Amino acid sequence: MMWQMQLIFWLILLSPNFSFSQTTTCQTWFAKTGIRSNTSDCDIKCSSAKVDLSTFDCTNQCDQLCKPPEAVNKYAYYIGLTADELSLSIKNPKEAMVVYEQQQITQSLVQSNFNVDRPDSESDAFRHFMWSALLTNLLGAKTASLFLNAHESGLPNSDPGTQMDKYNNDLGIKAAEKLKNSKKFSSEVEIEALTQIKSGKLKVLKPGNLPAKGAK
Amino acid sequence: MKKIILFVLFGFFVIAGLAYAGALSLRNDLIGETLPVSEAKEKFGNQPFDEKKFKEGSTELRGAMAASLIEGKTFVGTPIASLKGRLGPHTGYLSNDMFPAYILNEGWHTSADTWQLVFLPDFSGKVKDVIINKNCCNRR
Repeated sequence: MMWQMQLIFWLILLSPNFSFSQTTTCQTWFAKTGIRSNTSDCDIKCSSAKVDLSTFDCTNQCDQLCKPPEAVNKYAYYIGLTADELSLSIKNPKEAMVVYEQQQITQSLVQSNFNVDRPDSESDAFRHFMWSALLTNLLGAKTASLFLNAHESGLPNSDPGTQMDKYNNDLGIKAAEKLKNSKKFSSEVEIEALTQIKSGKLKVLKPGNLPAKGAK
Repeated sequence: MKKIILFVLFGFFVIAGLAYAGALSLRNDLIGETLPVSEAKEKFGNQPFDEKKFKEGSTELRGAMAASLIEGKTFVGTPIASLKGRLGPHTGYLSNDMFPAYILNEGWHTSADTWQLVFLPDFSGKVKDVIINKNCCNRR
């Protein structure tokens, strides 16, 4: 898969429509309102749309939000990345390959340890713990955090699922730092993740999906 | 001059072709193993899709409605962001939280594969395709 990722990154970078746009809270808010950008009444609808404490100033950005979406957002969405992830990957292609590879490894570990993969459940917590630990081991905590946060940028910080993911990412980073000199790093982190799930240390919003029998 | 234009055009088509192949390959890798609609009918049954019943229904009922939802192209062109409100919270997972996914059978009770309905976006964030792919699991 490496060549495809590299090719896509470079082609998007070379695309005349490309810009390093970021998914912001206001973009997420705007998407949820269902208002169509690039229409004559977009500005009026956007200015009068309902806001809350985290989005109260979004109506000031209606002129920007009503423009057609940036090309990079479209590409990112299509291949399952957030816009921030794609931007970061283009700026750091070598690290992005590691991130992508470790994501695949993590997903196979989820499949080998759980009977079903559900959002906001123990399998989700395990995925975030493992992925962040593996990335920290290979890229260092700072770079790992950049990619992990970019992965969460599709939804606002106030979203409970995002908060759960970030909490478990932090625990994964801490575990990686604790186990960094271990000779069997992956295996020990996996055991640590399962132990923390069983002891209730990882944050889980929808419990009831414990590791399967036969998991490490 | 003509040769240069032809060379540039050729280069453009080669790069565009490679980009398309790369994107398709990535997307296929993302999706993994899929279940054809005909097999879904055999596995889960075939009931007509009803939005309200799907939203409130059991996993089993959702499974039975999956084929009808796909064949009717009910949600093609709908903004992905609106699906959670219409069909309920996601119960499955594919790659990240942006793809709405709904579990269609509880395979873990019978050591069978677990399948899920996944809504795939186009470049503008609207539903382009609805598929059934394997949620889990390699373990037995």
